[in-house]
Amino acid sequence: SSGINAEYGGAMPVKLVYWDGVRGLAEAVRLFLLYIGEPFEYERIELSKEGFGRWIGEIRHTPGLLFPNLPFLMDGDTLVSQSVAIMRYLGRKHGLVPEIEADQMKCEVVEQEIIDLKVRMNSTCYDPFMGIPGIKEGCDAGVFDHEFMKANFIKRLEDRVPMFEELLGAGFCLGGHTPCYVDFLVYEYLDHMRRFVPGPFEGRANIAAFMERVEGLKGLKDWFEGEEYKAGAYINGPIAKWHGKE
Amino acid sequence: SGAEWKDVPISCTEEGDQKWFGEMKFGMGLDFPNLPYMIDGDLKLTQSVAILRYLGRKFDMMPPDVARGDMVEQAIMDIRQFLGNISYSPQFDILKPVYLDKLRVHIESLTNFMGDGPFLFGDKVTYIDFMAYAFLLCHRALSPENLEGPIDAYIGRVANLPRIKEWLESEECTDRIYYFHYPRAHCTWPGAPGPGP
Repeated sequence: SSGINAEYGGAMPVKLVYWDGVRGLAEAVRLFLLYIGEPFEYERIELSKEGFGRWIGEIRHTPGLLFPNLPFLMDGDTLVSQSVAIMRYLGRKHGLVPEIEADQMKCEVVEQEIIDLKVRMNSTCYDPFMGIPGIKEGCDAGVFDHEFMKANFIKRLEDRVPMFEELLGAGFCLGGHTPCYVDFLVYEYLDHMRRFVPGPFEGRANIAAFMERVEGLKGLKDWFEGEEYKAGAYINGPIAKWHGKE
Repeated sequence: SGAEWKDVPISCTEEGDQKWFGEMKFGMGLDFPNLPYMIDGDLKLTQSVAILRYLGRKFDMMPPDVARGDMVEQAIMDIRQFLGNISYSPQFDILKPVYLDKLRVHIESLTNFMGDGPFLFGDKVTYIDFMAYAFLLCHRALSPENLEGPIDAYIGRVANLPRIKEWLESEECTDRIYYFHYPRAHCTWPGAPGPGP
């Protein structure tokens, strides 16, 4: 890393907290932490009744966690929840944020566009009726039509993916040879999407090159060649209609 | 902020759809064509969060604590997306109780965060106050009983900001005729136009 802003955090390594075995909304943060070389602890909450109980009963009441949600990051006394807020925070801490206004605006548009797509993918993959008392799977009252939503999601990707293809022709999201925080959000969520619905990504040479470029970054190369990555993880939680774990 | 601005609505009709998808969407020089968009001189911007943050920086209406600001901004977007999702679902009535549980937690977090206020970040009005205001009105249209107490007082304070008050009382104020969601896209709860605050 190029020098941490002194007013950030403390002496302890930062701690990232999220569900065990799931990439979800936290993996982009892991990748960013690996790239910037910030030592970190990754606290995983087990995906079980006990784990869920720990989240509800204890972890979500962590003092200073103002909007309890997962993932969150602890950096000394600072607690940041909301994955986008975490990414922007780490970006500022390590100077990996846009410097000029034109880049800042572009960065924020790209950030919002990729989040839009991730939110749509979540709606496509998670059954909103699950867990509602009295609603049995597949009954008339709570029918979640995953295939219908997937078809709509594909149409959306057919509209938006060409725009990312155009954007990434120049290198990283803001052009140039150095990534900023938004590149890790884009990498991670494009990866979720291309695994889920490969069609719209076929023939997109710029996107493919970008993905390889990120995987080859110093700090990340070892991760992508390592056992843990190769073992595979859940993209979405295991309860999702499509969870991505092979 | 006192800036000059002009609204360019696209009508929620077949004709409006054709105008946007036909000539406007790809003809305007936007990198990621979308609605809403904003033009400021040579500058063209989409994505409401990006637009609001641009205006926040331009008019010195950014939160004093950046990380906290980002968290509140994203938390507001979270609950707003959830309401958006269920509003377009044919099973809106079944999903509404799940949403209401989340809304109650969100309102509590916002109220605790704000404390005495008067605004989210104390005395300084930020772009996030306008996000909160707009989406709280939407939540209130669906669930007025959850928007009582301190949060209602907060909504009133934003509505009473001098130029906001002027706008809300003006002839041109579209709050009285606009829906919250796009009624033409199979929307179960578009949020019927209301009288405002």
